[in-house]
This record gives sequence, C-alpha cells and structure tokens, in this order.
Amino acid sequence: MGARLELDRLSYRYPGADDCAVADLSLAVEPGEIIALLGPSGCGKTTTLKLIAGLLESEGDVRLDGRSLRSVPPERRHIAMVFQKGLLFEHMDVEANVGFGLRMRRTLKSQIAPRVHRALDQVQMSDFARRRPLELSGGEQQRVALARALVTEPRVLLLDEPLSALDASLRDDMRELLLHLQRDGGHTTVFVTHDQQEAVRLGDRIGLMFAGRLSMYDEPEAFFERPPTRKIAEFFGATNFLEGEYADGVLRTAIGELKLAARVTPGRRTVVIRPESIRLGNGDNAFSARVLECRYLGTGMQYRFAIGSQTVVARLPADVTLTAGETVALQLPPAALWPID
Amino acid sequence: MSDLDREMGTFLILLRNKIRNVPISIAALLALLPLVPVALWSVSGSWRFPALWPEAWSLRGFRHLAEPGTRFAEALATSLGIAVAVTAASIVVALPAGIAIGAHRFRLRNLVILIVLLPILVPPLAVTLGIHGAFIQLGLADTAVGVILVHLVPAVPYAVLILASVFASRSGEIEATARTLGAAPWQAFLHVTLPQIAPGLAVAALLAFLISWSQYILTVIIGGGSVLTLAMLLFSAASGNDPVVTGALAVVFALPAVTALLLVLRLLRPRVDRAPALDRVRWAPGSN
Ligand SMILES: Nc1ncnc2c1ncn2[C@@H]1O[C@H](COP(=O)(O)OP(=O)(O)OP(=O)(O)O)[C@@H](O)[C@H]1O
Ligand SMILES: [Mg+2]
Repeated sequence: MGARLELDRLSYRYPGADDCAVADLSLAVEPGEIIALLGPSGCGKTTTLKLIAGLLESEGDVRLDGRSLRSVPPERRHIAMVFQKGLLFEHMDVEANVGFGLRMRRTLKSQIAPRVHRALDQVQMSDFARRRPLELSGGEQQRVALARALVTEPRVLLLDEPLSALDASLRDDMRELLLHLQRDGGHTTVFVTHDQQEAVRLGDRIGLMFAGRLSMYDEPEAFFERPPTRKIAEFFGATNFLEGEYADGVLRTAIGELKLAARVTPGRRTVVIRPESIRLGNGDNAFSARVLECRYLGTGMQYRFAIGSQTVVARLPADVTLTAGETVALQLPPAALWPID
Repeated sequence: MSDLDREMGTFLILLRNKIRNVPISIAALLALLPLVPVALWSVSGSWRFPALWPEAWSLRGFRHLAEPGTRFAEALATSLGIAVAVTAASIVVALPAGIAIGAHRFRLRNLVILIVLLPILVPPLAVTLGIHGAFIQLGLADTAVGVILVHLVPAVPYAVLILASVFASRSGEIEATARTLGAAPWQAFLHVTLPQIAPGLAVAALLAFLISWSQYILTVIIGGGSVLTLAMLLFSAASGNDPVVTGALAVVFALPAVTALLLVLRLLRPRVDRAPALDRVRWAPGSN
C-alpha cells in the first residue's frame, strides 16, 4: 500500500536562474490516491517530481507518512520515478531492466525472477523478456519502464508525462492499464501532464500549476464547476465571461440582467459560463441571439452567437442545425453561471 | 507487397548489412597498408633494389631481436609497462575531468577547459624542456615514473576531450532513474554509466596508449637514456643499416597498436542490429 505524501512549501531555483522553477508548493496526496500535476510547458512539473524523488535539493520538506525525507537520498526514499523519455537501460535486456531495482536493493536471487515475471505479466510484456530496449516500440518501452518501477513496490510512484509519447489508441490502452495497476496495487501516484483531459480522466485530484506555483488543488469537477479565477477557467476551456454590477440577486451586464444561483457579494463582478452549459430555449436568463459561426466538432456542434455586443460560444448537440445569420433564443441557466475573482 | 518485392527487400537488407562492414574494412586496410613493405622486409633474406618482392625469406631479423645483447626484451617490457601505466593514469584523471566539463556547468568552466587543453595547444616539447629542470630537482629525471608523468602531458588532454564529449551528450536522467529504483551513486555509475560509456572510454584509452607507445622525444629528454623504450630502439635501428632488423622491430612495434585498434573497432560496432524489420522497410519497391 502506498504512503501518504506531503509536500511542505517546496521551493527550488536552478543554479543561475532568475526565477524559482518551483515556488512555495504545498499539497498532500492520500495513500493510494492518484493525482495529476497539470500546467503549461515550463511551469515546473518535472522539477516538482525531481524534488519529491530527492534528485534536486530543495527548500521545504517532503514527508512520507509524516516522516521527513529531508536528508534521505533518492535510493532510500522508495519513490520510483519514470521519466518522460530515454526510459530504459539500453545495455540490458527487458528482464534485466525490470530486475534492476531488486538487484540494487540486494533482493534474494531466488525472489527476483518470479517478481520480474509477475511484473512483466502485469504489463503484458512477458513475451519480450529477452528483447533489448532498441528492439521495442515506444509503447512497449513505456510498459517495461512502468513494470521496472512497480516491481520495486514503491511507496510513491512518480510518472512524467506517461502518455505523451503514444498515439491516440495506444494512449487509451495505456491509460486503462495504468489506472488498473494503480488501483490494484494501491500505489500513491503523482503523474505529470500538460493535457487537461488526461488529468481529468486519470486524476483523483488535480494540482494546477502556473509559473512554479500551485494555483489550485482539487477534484476534477471543481475545475469545471467552481473555477476561482479567470485564468483557471480558461485553462479548462471556459470561454464565456460576463461582467456587471451585482445587487439584489441579479448581475446587470451589457446584455441585460442575469439571475445568479450562487451567492455573491454586491459590487463589480464577473461570471463565467461553460460552452456546454448554454442551452437553446426560454426560461431564466434567456436572450435573443444571432448565429455568427458554426463548426462541426465530431461529437457536437460549436456555435458562436452574438447577444447584443457580447459574443458567446456554445456547444450544442449535433442534431441542432442552425445557420449563420439566424436568430434564436439562448438560455444561460442561473445555476451554470459561476462568479470568479 | 508481392512476393517478388519481399524478396527484393530481403536482398537489399542483406546487401546493406554487408555494405555496413565495408567502411570498417577500409579503415583497417588503410591502417595496415603502410606496414606491408616493413613486414616484407622483416622476413626477407635478400631483397635487392629493382625486385618487387624479396628473393629469399628468413627469420634472421626476429632471431636477432631475441639475442640478449639487443636489449629488445627489456625495451618491449618498458614500453608496455609505461604505456599501460599512462593509459590507466590518463583514464583515472580524465574520467572525473570529463564528467565535470561535459556534464556540469560551473563558474570559470571555459578557463578550466583552456587549462586542460593547454598542454596540446603549446607544443609538448616546449613544456617538457621546462618540466625537465623541475624533474631533475625532484629526482624524477632518468626514471620510468618521470617518463610516465611526462607522457601524461599530451595523453590526458585528448582523453579529457573524448570523455567530456561523451558526457556532454548524456542528460543524467538515466542515472536519476537508477537512483529512484534504489541504486546508490556508485551503483548507478558502475551498472548504468560505465557500460553505456564503454565505447568512449575504450577510444580514450586507445588514444592514451598510442600516444605513450609512440612517444620518442619526450622519453629521450626525461628518460635521459636510462629508460629504454621500443620507440628508441626502433629509432636507432632505423638510422643503422640493417633494414631486416629494422623491419622486424617495426612489426613488433606496430603489433600492440594494431591489436588495440582492432579491439576498439569491435567494441564500437552497435550491439543491437538496428536494421529495420522487413515490413517496415520504406524503400522496398512497391511499398509506401
Ligand atoms: N537543468 C535546468 N537548468 C536550468 N533551468 C532549468 C533546468 N531544467 C528546467 N529548467 C527551467 O525550469 C523551469 C521548469 O522546468 P520543468 O522542466 O520543471 O517544466 P515542465 O513543467 O516539466 O515543462 P514541460 O511540460 O515542458 O516538460 C523552466 O522554466 C525550465 O526552463
Ligand atoms: Mg517536463
């Protein structure tokens, strides 16, 4: 079973750099939980993993089950990290790669082979035991690297962009496998991605990072339904922002009065609504809207509407067929309007 | 893909695999070619000017070397001993230096590189004349240890250059992976770094060995005649008038170098056959 992982005000600055690559980062991962570190390129995700693994010397502290790892070197942390690329030891065959960690920790010889074979079995790579890394595809290498980490029974598993090198169909398979192994083994897992969808599908919780700082750490739904800032809402694909003066339960905006379900303190306020929350039809907050543009998305239609001077983007089912220039009634349901800072 | 295409593909791959060995063969041939007349001389009994080929064969040259008066055995042992010591010392010095320069950024790095390369930027002869005075005072002149030290002057910079370039192309992430799997720093170095840099290490060692093995002037100046190497024996034989003995000496002189070269060429061959599998051959006719 995995351990509880706590990061306490981690900071790191690369030698010679002006800004911190990771600044004041605190979060906790419960035993057996899988969390995603999400953020744009260069925001410090890989650096954070290296700090957890002890590969870089940080300010702040990493704790496992409450015990500080401040002076514990990587090899004694029992935290296995799978890097993004350059994954395997090229001079060893698959079996030797997977057995590496056990050999380093001087596991009994008689135990190594069965454990290695079980691990290879788990990632469906048993038939490849004698192959060299250069004779494997990218997806196969990824699975071997995963087996090599899992066989050491790490207390925390760190994965740097585990799916980014794979094509779409392989990625689905690998995601299922990863989730299955993680749930089965109960490994506390931190994985890095810059893909918002990946984070949502795989993570019990998501830590969103911008420029070395943790902006938000919560369950995936919260990022869609309750984003605290415009930046976070935008990162998760919310595109419609409406600004106005709030008083007596209504927000007075340029397009008219909007009823809000959420409690808001009076004053100048902005609300956000996701494209898929907008509906056709009448009711509260219904406006007459003109179709500006439509685009076929495969799973639905994306329309751009003009409501007075305001442009809104809405995602509607594929069976809704509107043409540019047409005028329709569009509803912004009060419960879907979320106030942000 | 038709059967014919498939066979064409197989044929082309076989051809390609053969062709890949050609550059190595040419390199070996070029290295060996100048040795041919010398080798012929070493086993000739009589070979007068216009003849393309010796008229009689004999092992007189080699037999002569085996006689006690020639000091051949002593020179061979000294040369080998010094070259092996220089190789070992070069690697011991150049490995950490190569790691530092290749894998790390630090203040004054360029200055350090300049200092490391200085001995081969300034002619070693000039350096040695200065060193000679110091060695006399230290009691290192006319000793094998002194000769080993002075051979390190040209050998170390080349070894550092090669190893620095090896480490410059490594990210360190593979060692980091090993660490998180439970390897202590020395274990990561022994089990991961060392096997992966073995070809580079072999090239550096070969070069250090050859630099020492073929050294003449530096040995004469610091050794002062009391340290007798094969190169010195060869030099004095070449200025004598017995081409058969000179030829025999030259063959013995070239032997370790050629052996080492062939060993390194073997080590540099890719261990995994990277030729694409048949169904992935892009240039096979009819496929796209
Ligand atoms: N070895 C290094 N030396 C100096 N700066 C570095 C080094 N590695 C990373 N950085 C810098 O630190 C910051 C964070 O890098 P990091 O690799 O953690 O980003 P990341 O979030 O993993 O990005 P990506 O999604 O592109 O992998 C970046 O600005 C990067 O330029
Ligand atoms: Mg990264």
